Amino acid sequence: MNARIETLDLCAVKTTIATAGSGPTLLVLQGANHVEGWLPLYDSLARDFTVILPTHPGYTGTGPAPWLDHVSDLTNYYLDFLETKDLTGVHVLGLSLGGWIAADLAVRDSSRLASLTLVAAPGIYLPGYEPLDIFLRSDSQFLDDLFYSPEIAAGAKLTALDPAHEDALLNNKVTTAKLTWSPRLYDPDLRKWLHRIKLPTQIVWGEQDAILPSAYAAEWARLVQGARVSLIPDCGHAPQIETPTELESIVRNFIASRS
Amino acid sequence: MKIFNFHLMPYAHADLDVIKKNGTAWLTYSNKHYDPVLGSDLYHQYLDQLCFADELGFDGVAVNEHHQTAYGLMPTPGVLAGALSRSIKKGSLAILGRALPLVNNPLTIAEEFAVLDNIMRGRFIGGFVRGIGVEYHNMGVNPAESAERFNEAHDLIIQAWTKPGPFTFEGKYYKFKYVNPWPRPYSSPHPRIFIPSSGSLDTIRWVAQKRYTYCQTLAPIEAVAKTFALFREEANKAGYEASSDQLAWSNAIYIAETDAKALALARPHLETYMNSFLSKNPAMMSPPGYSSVESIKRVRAIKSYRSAYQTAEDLIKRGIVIVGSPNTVREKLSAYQDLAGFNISLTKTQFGTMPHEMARENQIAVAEEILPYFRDRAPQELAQFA
Repeated sequence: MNARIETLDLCAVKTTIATAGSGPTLLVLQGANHVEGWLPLYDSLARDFTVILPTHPGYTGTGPAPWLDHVSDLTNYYLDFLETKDLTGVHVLGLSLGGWIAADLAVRDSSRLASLTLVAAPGIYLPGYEPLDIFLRSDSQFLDDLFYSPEIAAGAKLTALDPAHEDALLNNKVTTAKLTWSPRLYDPDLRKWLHRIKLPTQIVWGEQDAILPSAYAAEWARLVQGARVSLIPDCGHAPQIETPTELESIVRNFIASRS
Repeated sequence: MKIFNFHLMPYAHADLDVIKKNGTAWLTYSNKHYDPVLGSDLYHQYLDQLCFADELGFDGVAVNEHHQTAYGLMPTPGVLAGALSRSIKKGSLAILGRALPLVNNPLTIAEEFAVLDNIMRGRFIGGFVRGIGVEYHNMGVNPAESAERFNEAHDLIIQAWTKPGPFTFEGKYYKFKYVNPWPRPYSSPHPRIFIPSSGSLDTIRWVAQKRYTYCQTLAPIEAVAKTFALFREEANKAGYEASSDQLAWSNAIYIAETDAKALALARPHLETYMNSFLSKNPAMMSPPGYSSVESIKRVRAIKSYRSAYQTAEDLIKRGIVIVGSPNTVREKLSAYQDLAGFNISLTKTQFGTMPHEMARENQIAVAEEILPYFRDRAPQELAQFA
């Protein structure tokens, strides 16, 4: 990993930001699991983009964020973030929870954004397609659910279930519960305003996503005008780990086609 | 010691094989297995038992609140307390307790308790709990908000009882333009408050600071003693000496002529209670944010006895329940009272699948063999220092 790590003190919360590469900005908004850190995918993308990976307030090692009650608080935080860093023309890659934040961000103010890639994003509810109850799963069961490939799940367990990560996992789970327990994994107000998104948007989903069914991809595409859908075969809820090569080319091709 | 007769009102007709297959009697144990004809009989039997307890001279009767489970059929304990309130002529009536964060309008609990306290002419005891972990799954309330909601709801209820209305309450979770409940409580300044807990350090500290009565739920007596010692320490830190009347131990007692007979008769009902009706699934029982890390560790230590199948012998040996001849039960209860220093016993005389007649005989035995002996008995170790 060649990323530069900096500390950011914003909205009374200290977070770490990893940055690598040069070129147009690609802001990666992480999912709720959040212990995976800097992935090989980001190194590859950093060949042509300035990849910025922030830690969400309330997650791994940031300490408490007293203002954090809803996902929309994170959205407003990232509006501040974009202004503070004076970023423009930003391509956003939102992974799971990060995809929810990205969509909400684009609804509120897309003036600093260039495109959206939402990967397996919660945030809306599709009746009849219930997400898995992640809060009834043990840490180990959750990793089985996260990936389509049992081998990758087994590998992830070796790192994620390391006792060194125990506090971080516990803390992140609490923050995720705080943000998504009820309504479970969605904001009823978000879908009302998704028509405001005018940015080039693509929806990416692992076909075998056991946490949030891939049927949600079509629903997002219906709600965000002009959105394009890419389904990845033999992949679960975390393409950034399970099928990084496919995800990389999906991101690259999409951004290239829209520039 | 004050001895209350405490009831969980379990669904004694639960299909134990189905529970075993399902892995728990909570949350996912389908209510299609509830038979309303059998269930209605249970309600009448259990309410009759509590009225009988008052006639027998127990110091009080107590009900509690649990949701969506065969473990206990009292999702709305106020209704059951209401059904009892006109029949409990001598003793106290306690709800141990209402789960404050699980309701969206805690003012209704201030109202409900105030009505009961009026009907009981002050012989009502109000309990407040957070609700157990699984109830955040089945009532849709965010466990990460549990502690804050509890504190805020508690403050609202106490203010509603003690501050002349109407006044405005602007909390984070509960907001009222007008707080002015009628009736006010009969007791002044408000009903006695008992706080049941499984041993969370945060709760122990808070109860000690508020000078309420702390009730330890089912746990081995050694752990109970440690928890009560911690309570006394926290009271000292808060600047006063805790009274043994602030410490209640929740237990189950079964009496027969001999130890062997008592064990044989109690076994199936005890083992069902502990192994089929209590849940052991940690993801279900400890949702994220429900407890602080410190408290999670403490409760884990206390509950470690739950991990494997519990035989009646284990439960008796570890002092989680007391089963035996009248003499054995008297000896153990005295020893436990002295060891842990409590002056209130919340005693279940019916548990698990125990049928009505057997529970009644047990109540009579406790009334005849235990109550008179303990009426004026205080914890002896502590009495020396008093």
